[in-house]
Amino acid sequence: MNTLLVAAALGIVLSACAEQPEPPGRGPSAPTLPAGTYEVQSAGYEDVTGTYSILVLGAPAGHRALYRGADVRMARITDEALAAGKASHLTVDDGQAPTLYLTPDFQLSYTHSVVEPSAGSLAEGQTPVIVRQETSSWSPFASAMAGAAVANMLFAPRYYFPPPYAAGALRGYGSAGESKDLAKQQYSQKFGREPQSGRLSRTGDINRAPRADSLRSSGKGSGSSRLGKGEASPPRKPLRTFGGGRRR
Amino acid sequence: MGFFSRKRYVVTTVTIAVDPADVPSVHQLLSGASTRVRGGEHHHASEAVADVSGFLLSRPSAWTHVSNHGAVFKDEGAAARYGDEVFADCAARYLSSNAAGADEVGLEVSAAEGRASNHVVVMLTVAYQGANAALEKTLATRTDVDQALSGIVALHHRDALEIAALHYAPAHANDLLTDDRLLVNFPELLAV
Repeated sequence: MNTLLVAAALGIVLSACAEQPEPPGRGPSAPTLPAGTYEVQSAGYEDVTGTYSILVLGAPAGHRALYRGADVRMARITDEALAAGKASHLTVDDGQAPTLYLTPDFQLSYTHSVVEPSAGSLAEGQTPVIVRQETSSWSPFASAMAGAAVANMLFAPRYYFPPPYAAGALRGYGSAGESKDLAKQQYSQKFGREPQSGRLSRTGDINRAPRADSLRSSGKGSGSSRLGKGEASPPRKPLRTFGGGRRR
Repeated sequence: MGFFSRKRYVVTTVTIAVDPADVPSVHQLLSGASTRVRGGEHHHASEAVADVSGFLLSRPSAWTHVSNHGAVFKDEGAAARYGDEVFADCAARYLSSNAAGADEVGLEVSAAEGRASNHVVVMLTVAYQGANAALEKTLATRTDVDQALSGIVALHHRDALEIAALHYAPAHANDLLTDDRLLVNFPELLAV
């Protein structure tokens, strides 16, 4: 019953957003939630803007249950708290970036946007355009990260960037830092380029017009898996395949 | 998993197109189920996928097209990675519309396309261990579809759904998935 109510609440929140869309990248500057700790119902990350959308349970009356913004820190819930049954939660503190405390298996829905300059080359002043979007998931703390020293760092709130986008679910993180700039620096050192949201921030707002792709309708997808991926091994062929639907 | 274990993992996607005129409540159901899948608890995702299967089971007259595709693995990791590939493949069939951005995405349909042709496509991906004949054959008839959906519900009740994923298009009742869009993005669908 509880989940149904939450689902209904989400519908209301989403339609509320849809009626008054906020310009991407310029999200609400102040948290819409009063200071406190809220259990997280679901969370998403949009790589094109670096924006988090966090839906919480138990928002006080008159406050939106959806927090949207790019200034979000994350931390892993400690093993002790996990053992005590602590669920993923969001803490909002006046004057500080809110922090998402996540269980190791928590998945954010991840929206990847393929961006192209609007007219051939990305000269100054041109607006990049989203030509394609893909839905995936990101589990920042799911990766088997060895070493207690590394693990301890995960328990302190830091800014994170996701690993470079690849098909399939994203696990672990690309970089982290005490500040956004430090995290961005670390990302550039590791991968030789800025995170996607950083590259876009120089060119201003993005235009959400999927031109060439209007043959696709809108859609939604989400999934959960408890199959272990194990060690990375060379791709193995299936024993057999079946069904008439040939996948592309 | 031991070296000599003879496990069998099956990952399969059942795709069903329905006529929204026959099931006006379909978007409400799908959006509620999608929220539960996204919640982070595997059990809730499994239940949501089973609920969607049960809903489709109860509306056979709304089915217009169907297809399925799956693969059998002996290795759990290979099945898991295949599951990721399938997820990406399903997601590539539509333009993702996330929370607040949804209505900014330009999905206008020209007036000529009209409202006459409209579809809702539901893609259910599940994985399980062992064998399940109803799910591992080409779905061609209404009876096949009925048995496959019943199979998913039964697997959920045995807590046997190792993957539970739900994709659907379009995301909103007021978006259109026209005949053309169906043909281009779901070429494998066959009329039932």
